[in-house]
Amino acid sequence: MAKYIINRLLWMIVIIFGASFIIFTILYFTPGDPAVILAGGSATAEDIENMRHILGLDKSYLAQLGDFLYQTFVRFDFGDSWVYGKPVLDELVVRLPRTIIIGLAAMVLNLTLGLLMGIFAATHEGKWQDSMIMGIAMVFISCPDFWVALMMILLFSAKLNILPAYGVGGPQYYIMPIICAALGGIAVNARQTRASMLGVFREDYITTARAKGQAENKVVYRHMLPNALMPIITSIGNGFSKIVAGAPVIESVFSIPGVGLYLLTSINMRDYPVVRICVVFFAFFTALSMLLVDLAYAFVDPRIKAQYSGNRRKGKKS
Amino acid sequence: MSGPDTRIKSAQEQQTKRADKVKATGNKMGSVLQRGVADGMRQKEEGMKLHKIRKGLGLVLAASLTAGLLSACGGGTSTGTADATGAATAETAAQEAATQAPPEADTSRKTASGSGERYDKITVALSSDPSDLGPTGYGDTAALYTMHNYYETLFDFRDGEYVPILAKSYTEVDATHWEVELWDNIKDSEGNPITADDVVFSYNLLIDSGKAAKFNSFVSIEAKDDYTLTFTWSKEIDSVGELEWPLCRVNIVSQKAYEDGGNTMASQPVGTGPYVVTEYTPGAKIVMEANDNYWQSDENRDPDHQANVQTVEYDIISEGSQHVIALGTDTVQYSEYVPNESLADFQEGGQYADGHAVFSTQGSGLQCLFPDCSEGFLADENFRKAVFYALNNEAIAQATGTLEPAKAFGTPFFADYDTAWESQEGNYMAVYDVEKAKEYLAQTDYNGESLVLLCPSSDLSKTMAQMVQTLLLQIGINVEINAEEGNLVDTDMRDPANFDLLIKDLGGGSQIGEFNRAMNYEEFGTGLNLAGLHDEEFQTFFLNCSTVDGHTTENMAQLHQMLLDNGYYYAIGSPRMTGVYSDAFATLVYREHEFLRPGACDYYLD
Repeated sequence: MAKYIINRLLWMIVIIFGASFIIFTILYFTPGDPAVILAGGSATAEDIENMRHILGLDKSYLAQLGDFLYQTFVRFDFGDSWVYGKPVLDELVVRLPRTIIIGLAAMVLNLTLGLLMGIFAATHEGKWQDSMIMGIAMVFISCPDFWVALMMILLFSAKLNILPAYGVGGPQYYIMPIICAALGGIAVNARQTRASMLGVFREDYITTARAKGQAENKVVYRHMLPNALMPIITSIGNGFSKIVAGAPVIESVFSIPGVGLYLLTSINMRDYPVVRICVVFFAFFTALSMLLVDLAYAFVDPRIKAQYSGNRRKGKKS
Repeated sequence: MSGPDTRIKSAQEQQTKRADKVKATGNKMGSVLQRGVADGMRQKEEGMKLHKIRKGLGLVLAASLTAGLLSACGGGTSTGTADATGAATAETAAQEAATQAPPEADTSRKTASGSGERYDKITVALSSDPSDLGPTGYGDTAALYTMHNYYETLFDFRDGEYVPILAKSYTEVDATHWEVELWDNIKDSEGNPITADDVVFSYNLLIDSGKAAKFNSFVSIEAKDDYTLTFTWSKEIDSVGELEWPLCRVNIVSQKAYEDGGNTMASQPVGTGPYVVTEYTPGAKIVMEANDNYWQSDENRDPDHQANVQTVEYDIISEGSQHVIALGTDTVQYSEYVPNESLADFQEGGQYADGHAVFSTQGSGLQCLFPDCSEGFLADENFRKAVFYALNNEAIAQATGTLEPAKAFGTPFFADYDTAWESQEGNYMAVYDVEKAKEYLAQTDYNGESLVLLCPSSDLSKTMAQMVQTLLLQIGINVEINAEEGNLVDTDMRDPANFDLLIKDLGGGSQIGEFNRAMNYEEFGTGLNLAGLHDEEFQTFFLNCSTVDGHTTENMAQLHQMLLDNGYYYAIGSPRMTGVYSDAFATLVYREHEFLRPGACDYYLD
């Protein structure tokens, strides 16, 4: 198992370097001169050239790439935002907690409600409860999050005046953004769970368990659910990696200064240091999430664990 | 935009007082810099009258534009002038004008300025975060709304005049050397004295940041003694607005405060302004309190640098509809970012009309259509005029819903705009004449080829582009729209090979300043101006108009006639600035007519 983890960790380094190289190259060839944007509308050709020199944009592609990789991975200097002049890391540290609060809470909601709804629908397959749950899930998937957000704002802020419409502050500021961010995920998880549960519903071991007189709850939660978890874990892993990337739409609608909004603004402003570091950071977190998902597979599925254990024994013999 | 009468009187008194002080120095540049405060105020008042007339007319015109739009889009060959549409209901226009006028203080009520007390708290909504609150933090437009609260500059720039703030007086030593005297009692909000060395430090800070735009004339600044600075210019200062940036855009801070704070100025600014930042949540809000230790005495304090409200909060709200909710629930009291379609909610009969009003005025920007005169069909004067005569500014403005249609190449916002330009011979911007457009087109060898119209991808620009496309199609000119991200257009517009027609906005501190970017072929370092022109005669005449002596009404009129005769430029219209404010405001005061100064506004206390 240790070999498996080390193998995956080494791949993480490759992934992060690859992501760094790709994002740098894409940004280098992206149309739009950051010096023109930063120098402002009143800038003369001389001002722009001066700005280009200050930003180091007058160097060759390789020199700029080398600078970026050296500063980021050797000196761990993530640089300053060109637009705002502040260290990118400082800004990320300030913004990340807000994004994580929304992402994590939304994910907890996704998981709990999604799983429960999916199990409930699967165990009532073909009945009105199943139709109702799937109907609700369909509504959740179909409604764009920005639309739901605006409707909630109109109801809870404009009409009832019980929740703040925008900004950050106490827990009350996060209620609507979390619900909006969670709705789509709840629906996806509910549908995924239902499908997975139905996949194992007619397996022989389930029939055997029932024949042996197991209580239905035990059949569902001890025999069906663990065997249906694999695709659900994949779905959760994907959701987990999105936690730090933020939800630009939700952050924008609720004016929450999170990472998603930061990245979006930076792309528009050609603030390359911010975009690069954000992408590297996302790549790192995504790779980490995938590693955790793989470990969870091994934990949940004894066949995977056995496969790696078997390899180790075989290696020792040889 | 101008504030209400009460505020103007006060400002006039203060400015006249200041002008007297400047004149007392007996220097020649006093007349350049303070080129007749009284004249300026008179121009401003005249401008206000004209603006009101224009606004009324504009609203009358707006009511009848639909017909024009329909005829334009319907393939008709209607001919008419802008003035010919004045048959719409004057009553409706008057009602609309009334709802969009700035507030005038009710003298029977208790106000902050009248009582000497401060209003408690006002919250202003912004659409983006300045993010860097440091003295060189010009990264985001939002900074222009906030930084004047906590920083000050040597001079303010008002109506083309330089109003001394931290500077006490100035003297022209010779053509390229000026001496500026500072007040000797300036202190920042932490009590650090500001001397000439601090001013030099602040200038170097901005220059080193690379954000010292428009410093072409600036060579150096030196401290002569504790309170005297020597500026060295590269040449004699003879252009209008040439010193706007060097004198009015450098935020002055104490070197000690800056260096002691490390990099904290970006979030905890320390300046000399009337407010002190007490809380900053990046991306969310900035809270500032009145600076009780403001350095200037009451009698010398500039009216625009007052602190009539104790707490000013800027809330950063990125979503337009949220501005409506925030105003409706009284979470914020002022916003310029309410979507057009929601403005009716705050006007008579609207759901939030009670307790709110809308102030709308022509902004300083100018949306233009630039032809690439360097090559292709647009190099032909006849073809350019065919294009220009086929356009209907009234219809385009109506389609956008946010533009005041242009009737000449300029913005009535500026004092050096002359309404006489509108009736100059061959003014294709004031006339929509399809027949004439066809006559001009017949003189070209155009045969249905497609032209590339480059424009930013904003809703406003795309609407204008679509209207231009439709209107030109009526005379058989095919246009292909290339809508790019705004920042990309800023790069691509520098090479005329990227477009045949370009939609781009202009801005500046004066009309001639606004012209500079469009007309000066030295501006981009390519030898071509925004219209792809390298016309020596036109350039020489334009540069002459930019000088103090050459900036006369006659020369400006001749310049405008030249551009009309050659069909070089086309102005579509100026975007309106619309502010929604709560009834807490007794008056509204703006910095450089565009950026609300909450501290200088007046408030009702009863």
